[in-house]
Amino acid sequence: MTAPAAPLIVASGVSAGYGARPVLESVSFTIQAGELVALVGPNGSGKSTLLKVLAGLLPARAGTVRVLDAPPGRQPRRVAYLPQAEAVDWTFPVSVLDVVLMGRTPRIGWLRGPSRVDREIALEALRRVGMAHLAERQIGALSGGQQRRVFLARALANEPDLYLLDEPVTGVDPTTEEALMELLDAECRSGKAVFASTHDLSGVLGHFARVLCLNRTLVADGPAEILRDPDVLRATYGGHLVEVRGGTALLVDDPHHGPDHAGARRGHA
Amino acid sequence: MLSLLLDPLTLGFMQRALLAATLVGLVTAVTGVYVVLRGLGFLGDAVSHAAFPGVVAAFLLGAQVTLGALVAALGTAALIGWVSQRGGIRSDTAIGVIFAGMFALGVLLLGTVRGYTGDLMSFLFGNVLAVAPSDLAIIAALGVLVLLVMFAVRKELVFASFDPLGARAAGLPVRALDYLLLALLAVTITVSIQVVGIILVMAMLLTPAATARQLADRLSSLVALAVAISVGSALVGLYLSYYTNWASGATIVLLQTALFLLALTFGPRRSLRA
Repeated sequence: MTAPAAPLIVASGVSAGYGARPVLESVSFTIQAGELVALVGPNGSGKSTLLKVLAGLLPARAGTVRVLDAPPGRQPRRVAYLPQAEAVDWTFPVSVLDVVLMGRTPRIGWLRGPSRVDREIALEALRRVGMAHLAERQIGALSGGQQRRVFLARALANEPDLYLLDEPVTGVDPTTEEALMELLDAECRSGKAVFASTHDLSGVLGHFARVLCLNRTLVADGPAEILRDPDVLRATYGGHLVEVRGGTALLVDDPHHGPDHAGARRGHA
Repeated sequence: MLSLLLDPLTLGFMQRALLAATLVGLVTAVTGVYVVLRGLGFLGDAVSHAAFPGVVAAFLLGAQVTLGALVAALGTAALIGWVSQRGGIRSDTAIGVIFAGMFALGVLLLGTVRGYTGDLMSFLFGNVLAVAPSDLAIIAALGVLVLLVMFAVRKELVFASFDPLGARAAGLPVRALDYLLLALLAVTITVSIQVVGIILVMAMLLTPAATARQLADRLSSLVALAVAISVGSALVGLYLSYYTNWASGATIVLLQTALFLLALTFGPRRSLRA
């Protein structure tokens, strides 16, 4: 172990929201280099909002945020942000490789196109997520899970120190999810940090070391195993929780965004 | 046969008209690709109509009419961008309100013009056969400027259009790029008004790009195809109007519309939206 460095993320009493509507209130935590941290919570709990604040896309109304020892959004070369699928225009005519090359934008700079090295790095990132054979395909022609993998490749191509991932594995099949999580784990072992929101609680138990439970404020922060604690789940998900048994959470939550509605179903065992 | 093509070229006004139509066809096609991909059609329509009071005001003041159009178009584009980014108002509402207000101002100003207003009418419907050498110089200078800027920031424009959040997180000034696109749109519209007029300029922007969108799914081929369709229709339309005496702007636009309908009917991409 080397000497302890400054944390990659320091959030202290952070509140944020859109217009007059507050979403996050008084959230405090830190993330160190090498950590693989999951962010869970019901819809509308502020997961995307928190990631946007950390990426510098939304100002904090109160509290302080430091990312890589600077205000958020100042170091695009060292931070890769993966937005939710809804924020992207999938009909836009770009190829899979074009999309991954966008991850090189902060390094290429203005008035220049990608170099051969940039292309090599982008192709290597596509290989790592198992999508190199679709490099020339139109991005809109891919399935939702494949699109997530391409976006993860874009984040890898950025070669960042910190990954801020908004639902990186939503819509991905279990085998691929396993492979992608191993990839992120390898990134963490090489000293990077990953902070990823997810709806898949069993995935958190299987792959993440630490979890932050969010429900507009931070409900719990600890090792992934705290998700086996019914009190933590109840505090995080409230009425969404259906059943907890045998140390495994079984709950109903809508993986898509929008107003919460009863009857939204997708069980995670 | 060859003389049918070459005879008009001996006339100075036809040479200028063909050059102007080619330049305008080129610039509108490239800008139009972004207009179609970003769904900015209504905004473009608003900006072109908003150029009208600028044209009339310049006429009244005895100033360069293209300059008046440019100032009004740029001002309107900036105003619409500002109103829609303030939030609270849907952007189509903001566009509609400003567009109608500007056009009303143009109508009001037009009422104060004494005597002959035929020159002003040519701005409503375009008259490419009346393009003067000084007009051609302005069209060429502004057109080349638009193309150069588009080319210089194409990587950033594509990223910001495809994934605005990701682009901002990657450090791109997405809001500034949006304003830049609006400004380029305003300049494109200004130079095109000479050829097809305020009312038909939207067709020059939308139709070739929308036609190409039916046939291509790569940005580079999309731009190339839109340019080919646009410039091709402009040249063919101009010759047609020379021999038939049809209105040149309308002939060009109708040719483009026919190609659009053909591509829509026989093109392979009917499942994807333009």
